[in-house]
Amino acid sequence: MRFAFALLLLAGLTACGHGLSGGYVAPPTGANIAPIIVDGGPPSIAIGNINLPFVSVTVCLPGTATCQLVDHVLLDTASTGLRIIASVLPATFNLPPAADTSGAPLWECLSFADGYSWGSVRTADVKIANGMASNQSIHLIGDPAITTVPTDCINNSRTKLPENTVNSFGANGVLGLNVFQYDCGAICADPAKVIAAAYYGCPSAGSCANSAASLSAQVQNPVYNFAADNNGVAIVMSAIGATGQATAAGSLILGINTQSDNMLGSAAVLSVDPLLGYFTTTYNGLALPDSFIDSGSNALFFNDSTLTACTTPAGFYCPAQQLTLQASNQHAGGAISTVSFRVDNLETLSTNNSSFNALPNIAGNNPLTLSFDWGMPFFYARTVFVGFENRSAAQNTGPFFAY
Amino acid sequence: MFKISAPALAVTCALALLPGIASAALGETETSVRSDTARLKASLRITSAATYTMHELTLPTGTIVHEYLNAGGMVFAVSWRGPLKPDLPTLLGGYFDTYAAAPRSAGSSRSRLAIDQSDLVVRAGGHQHAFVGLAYVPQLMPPGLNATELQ
Repeated sequence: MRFAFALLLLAGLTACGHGLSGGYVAPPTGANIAPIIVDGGPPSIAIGNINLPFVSVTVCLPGTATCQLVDHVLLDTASTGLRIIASVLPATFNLPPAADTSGAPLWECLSFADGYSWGSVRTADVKIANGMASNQSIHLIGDPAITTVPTDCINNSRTKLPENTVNSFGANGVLGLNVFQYDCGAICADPAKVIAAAYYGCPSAGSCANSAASLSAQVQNPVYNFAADNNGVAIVMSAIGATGQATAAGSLILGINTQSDNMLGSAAVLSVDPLLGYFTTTYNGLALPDSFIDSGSNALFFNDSTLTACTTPAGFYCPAQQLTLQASNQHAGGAISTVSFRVDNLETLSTNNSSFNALPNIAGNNPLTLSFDWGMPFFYARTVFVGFENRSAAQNTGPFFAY
Repeated sequence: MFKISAPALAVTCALALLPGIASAALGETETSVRSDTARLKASLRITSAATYTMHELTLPTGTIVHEYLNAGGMVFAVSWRGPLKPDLPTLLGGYFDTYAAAPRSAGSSRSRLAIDQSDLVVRAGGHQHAFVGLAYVPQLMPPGLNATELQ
């Protein structure tokens, strides 16, 4: 009975895949692989997400088998470290606090361009697929122990958009697997320097002050600290139909060129600025030096005043007909690769299929005129490698992206 | 033939923090504020173009701040690029409250911010390890200068 049901399900998937994209390719499975799902996000959120890839992460009280599996954690190639919204963990699951360089409980302000997340830094064992890193600092966003946010955190992030709940964040957490090891680095570890809107020591509620966090106490890329398969990750997303799908599947593969399932092969390597993680994309003849690949951006974002803007949602492009456009990236060694991408009418797509959470051909305006944000649509039907800084894979030393 | 074309940077005056050289917040004059360089603990480099002077501050965080002064010595634009945001209340000065309260324009999100007020335009964005931004006061811009020329 169970066997028959499984066959039926497989047949259904195959038929569905053929109808949409001309061939369903099952995501790879293996011990070093965590499944990725693009869906609406945690069921509790008010509005379903578009094009956000989620993974599940296990966190454990250090050195114990007392663990929590957290689903719908946003996989983000443009931030560093694991952050979980406090409310998704049981109140009794009391992760021990990390400490600043003076021994006070460590808290952190995660500053966005517009908005911030505030919470304590706690210690946990972190597990993804067959990888495990013990005693990792993770950010417990919206930790109810201290809800008074320091003024400089608010000032540097504007006042309007705290993102401390599952609903405002749109996910149960974020797994930042960008090219960097630490979310701040040496500058935040020096007690002689005062860095605003980053780490704080909070001896008690109401006494939070800018503080230094040793490198080991800082929130870190957990995969970097795994015992093996720790030089990067590969993100494999299946192709999806041109008008989108309800969901999309993929795989987060630990390591690059360390196993048969994560070989770099002929992928072109894209070196990035070791300080900022940016590279240069050329679009419409203009070099854009602040460009990056970001699985946490739900569209391609670039500036092109000739494209028709959507009425709703504002900020996206709504061309009358689907467009095929090109941009190019300069790779290590000087080679240039041209990336062809499509821009479809988001209003039409979402009107026709309001339940679709995976849309491959959507793009929006980028107020930053020197930046091309290669968001989630770039990942569909591709394998994208994220090469960690100071680690090597097949003679390439990170930081790099490859695809 | 030698030809100077605006807005090419023509002169590099200083490569280190010099006594007596001050920089200022947006909308303020060079002399009105003793020194952002001191408050931001920055090193300073000054370059001149046809219609403006640019002070380049390198902060201890590695973030580079540009302050653009018009012919009247007023800071008409500031920009930043680096792993951490600069202290925006210091950099934006009297325009900080406008920045903090202004509605976002279309295209804004958690990682991209556009503000289009009559007296303040902001284009800011980025993510951990990589923040960029530009803020300017349209009324103080040198005539003929396009904001896209400011980096």
